Amino acid sequence: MLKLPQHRLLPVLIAAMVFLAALSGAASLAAARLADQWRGAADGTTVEVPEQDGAAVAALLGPAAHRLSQDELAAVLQPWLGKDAGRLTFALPAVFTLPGSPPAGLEQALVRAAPGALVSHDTVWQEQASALADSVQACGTLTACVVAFVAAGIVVLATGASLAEHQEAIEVIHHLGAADGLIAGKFAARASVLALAGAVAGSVSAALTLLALARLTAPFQPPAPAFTLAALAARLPPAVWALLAVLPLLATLIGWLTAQATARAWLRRLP
Amino acid sequence: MEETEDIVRLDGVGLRYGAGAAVLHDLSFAFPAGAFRWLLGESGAGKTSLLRLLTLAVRPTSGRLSLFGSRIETASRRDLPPLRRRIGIVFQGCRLLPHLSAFDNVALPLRLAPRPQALLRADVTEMLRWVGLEQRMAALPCELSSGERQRVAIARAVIARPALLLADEPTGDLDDTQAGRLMQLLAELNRLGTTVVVATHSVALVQRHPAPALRLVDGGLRA
Ligand SMILES: Nc1ncnc2c1ncn2[C@@H]1O[C@H](COP(=O)(O)OP(=O)(O)OP(=O)(O)O)[C@@H](O)[C@H]1O
Ligand SMILES: [Mg+2]
Repeated sequence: MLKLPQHRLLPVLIAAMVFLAALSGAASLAAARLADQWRGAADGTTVEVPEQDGAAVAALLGPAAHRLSQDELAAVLQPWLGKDAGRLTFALPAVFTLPGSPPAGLEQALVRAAPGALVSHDTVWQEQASALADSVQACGTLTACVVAFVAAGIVVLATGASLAEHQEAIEVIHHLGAADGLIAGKFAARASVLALAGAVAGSVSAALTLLALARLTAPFQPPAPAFTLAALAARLPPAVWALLAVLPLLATLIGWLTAQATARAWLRRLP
Repeated sequence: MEETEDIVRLDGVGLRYGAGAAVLHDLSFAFPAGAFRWLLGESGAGKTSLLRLLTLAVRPTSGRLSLFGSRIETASRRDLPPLRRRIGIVFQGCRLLPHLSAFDNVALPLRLAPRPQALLRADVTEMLRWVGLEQRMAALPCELSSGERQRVAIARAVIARPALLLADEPTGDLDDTQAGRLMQLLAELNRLGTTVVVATHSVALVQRHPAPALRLVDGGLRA
């Protein structure tokens, strides 16, 4: 009934907002996954010494310590050095793992037995890493709130402009007995369609961007099988796909609710 | 509910726009159902302002106003749309929607009413034939002459068979023949039970169609 003009700006800005939300959401999800992995990792101490000090240090650490075999080392190094990590020409250090925190006096004893020994305790970097993951997640949540707020603001401005443009027609329809809900419903329907269109575009761009980023991390992943849709889908975790699907729905909801509220507030000026 | 036999009832009604001086003061009168009334007065006397009160475009700033037995000063906003749908308005200046064809402008009140839409096309076509515009149904308001626009506005005002019809200078843009046909249409609606109030400057029109008149002078009523 009301023919509203194309608001090209609304879908474009909503697309940008959804793109931002998708990227920050994907970062949050990745951070959450890493934090879980790190928190789940065994609480232990790693001792790394030059190869020739291996036997002396094994005696010093006692039977609780486990010395990583060549194969185990190769498996650890494989993501960085490739499949041939086991057949390296240079000497690998001797690496020991022992459960729990480093025993008292370990560092001093090692300085004498094997100068150049490295002792790292999981819980220290684990705590730092999970604190980092938490703050990445907090940033993601904050970003989502700001993005939702800005998106609502965009809809308020676009709806306000549209209401002002059609003031005369709205007043006539109001005088003919149209209830506020009917008029506000037209504007809300329009805003939610425009928001949905923009949000789908934003979500698709975000998906393409994330897939491209996922290619950069390919060395950490099993070799890619033939190019299929399933293989493509497997490049991103299901939670990220769910996020990309939910964001357009959220944007539509924000568009609808905000336009309803804006139009109803505006209509209250009429008698 | 009070005085249900009066479609319109005013008791000491006054109106001022914003902080300005009162443009209407101490108006008291009633229109019984089925009445026909002329509304006369010089330019600036307050005819349009009084019609704006009766079409619920403004609320009285003093006094008591009832339409169809409902008190208007105390009614909530949400009670007004159903009352407005019982009122037909021919605005001074037509106020057609520029993006809609003559057909769609006339169909508006039917589309706003909670009624079956099946007969809409036939009703609107019949109405446009009545005002002599069946050939111009698809035209936009800017493609119509001012007299044709006025007839579209009249068709829109009466299409939903309003209980109360208010017309502000409806013959302003019409020639004598068209003005005569319009008066016939208003008389027929009135005979079918619609209460009709017509504001006009035209002494000739009033002389040709004698009916009781309200005369406004400087926002007050003169017998
Ligand atoms: N929206 C408004 N704000 C302030 N003053 C107004 C407004 N509308 C009308 N007036 C004033 O109210 C008075 C009555 O105006 P109104 O339009 O009711 O007169 P009228 O009898 O319809 O005149 P006309 O025959 O020229 O149409 C005038 O003095 C006018 O200036
Ligand atoms: Mg007037």
